[in-house]
Amino acid sequence: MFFRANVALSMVSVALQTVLLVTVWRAVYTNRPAVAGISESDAVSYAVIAMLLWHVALPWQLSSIPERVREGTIATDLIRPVGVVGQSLLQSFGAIVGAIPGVVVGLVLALALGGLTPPATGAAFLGFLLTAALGWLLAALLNLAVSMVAFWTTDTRGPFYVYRAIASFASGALVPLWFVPASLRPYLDALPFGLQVFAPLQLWQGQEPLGGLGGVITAQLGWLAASTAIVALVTWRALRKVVINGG
Amino acid sequence: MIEVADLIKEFQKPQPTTGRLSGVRQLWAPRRAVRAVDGVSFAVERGEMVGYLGANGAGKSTTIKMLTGIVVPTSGTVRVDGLVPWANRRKHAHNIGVVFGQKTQLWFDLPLRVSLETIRDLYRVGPAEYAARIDEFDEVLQIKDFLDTPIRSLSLGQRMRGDLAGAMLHRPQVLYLDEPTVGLDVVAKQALRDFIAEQNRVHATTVMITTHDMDDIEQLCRRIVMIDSGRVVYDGDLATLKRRYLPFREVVVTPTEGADPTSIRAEHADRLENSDGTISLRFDPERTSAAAVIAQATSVAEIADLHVNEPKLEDVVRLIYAEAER
Repeated sequence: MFFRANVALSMVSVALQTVLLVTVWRAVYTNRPAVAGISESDAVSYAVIAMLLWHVALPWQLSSIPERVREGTIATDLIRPVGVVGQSLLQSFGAIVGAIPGVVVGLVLALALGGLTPPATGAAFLGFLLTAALGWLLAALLNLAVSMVAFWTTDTRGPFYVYRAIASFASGALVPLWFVPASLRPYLDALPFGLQVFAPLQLWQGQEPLGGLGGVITAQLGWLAASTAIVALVTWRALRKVVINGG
Repeated sequence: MIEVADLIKEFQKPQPTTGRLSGVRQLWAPRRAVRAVDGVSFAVERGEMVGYLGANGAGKSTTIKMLTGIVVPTSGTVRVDGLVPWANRRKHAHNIGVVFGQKTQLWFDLPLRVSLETIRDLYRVGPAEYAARIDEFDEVLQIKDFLDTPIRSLSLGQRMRGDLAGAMLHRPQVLYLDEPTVGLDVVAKQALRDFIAEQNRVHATTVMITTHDMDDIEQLCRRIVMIDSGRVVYDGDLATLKRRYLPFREVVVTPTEGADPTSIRAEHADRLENSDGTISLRFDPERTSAAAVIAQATSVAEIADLHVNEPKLEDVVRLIYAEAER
């Protein structure tokens, strides 16, 4: 009952965000045909889909590992025939399934309000789906690496705030990266976060992301390999560091 | 089945700091090693039930966490059915079941049925085996009464019965129980003990149990391993432990009204007058027998009642823990 109510409320929340985003971005474009070369319809559509990606992929929210380390219940995860990393990734995947009703509501409402432009082409849509999926996996692995800090610090709020501040901005989920000053772009392009939201959305809108579709996928695979190595190393170290709180 | 040799676990703790900004200075305070387990060695045969005892902080739970692969030791070796637990976590997980009295391995928000089905899938238990085991467990644990209740809504006794079913669902060779009866009422405790004894008897499950409830030990274990300050101080059978620490028995006599209590004595027995008017005759069974003490006591005065007190494990443990504190 509580969980069904939670899903229903998250659908209401997505609906509210969709209406607000469409209204605010249209207000920003009042009497302006384009800002930084981006049309109103593209900007509104970008804002809605970025919000839905945020909702469905829960980016930059840590896994349950920090809470389980703090409470000592990580002990029961360590005696399972599935690794802690596998359990955490499966849990993140389950969260996606739980977020699907909210996404459906957001898409339907955005379409009804005329705030959603369809993908530029069928190929663009497939490119979006593939890169968004790889972007989600990258976000999940990076979240996991940051979560593992809990094995050293118990309280992960400090590292989490820093991580979320950087990741949410650098991904383009808060502000599309078109509007970021050119001097900042090389730094943001060097980070993996733009590959999670901005690059897939560029593909949706028929724009050429940095390096094209092949370049985005190559960069995502490279970052996935690097983050997998980081997670493996951090996990290996963390499991030698385990202290079970609460006896 | 379980081989432990020279097992050591040290935790690094910051040295306490005091004075101004002590909370900040604590961040780079020098660390000191605290040894929780200090050279523990023992071996457990297949099908044995072993009580692993010790006062709070003696290192029991840390040892169990190393045996289960949760915690990696500083040094020493552990092999459970030939596997090093922390190096072969996934394979080892199929060999062991674990019940923590203080934490549940079930999913807090899911009904017990869904938790057990999830465990079934995690451990790849077939549907027919699963159904048969649920029926078998239900005979003693009576879990079918609350299979559809979320774990968060179960009483502690029900939750522990569910936890035990979850731990044994994949029929592990070794069952570790870390204070499984803490906080349970007598009926729930007995159900758990009956279940553990049956699993051991029918399936030769090796059981290792830490507990502060001496009835758990007296009913389940023939062998005790006792640790203090991380070291094994006793490893042997229960009867020998009692003989070593409480080598005497006691005949408690209630004289009839008018009888002279001072006359109640026996050869080779210390005489104690209790505050309730009874007389205790404490004797070493190697020097005299209960029958001889009773015969002498009843020959000199008229007796209203008498009984023989056997040494209790609880008294033995209290004695050992008190020694350790000194």
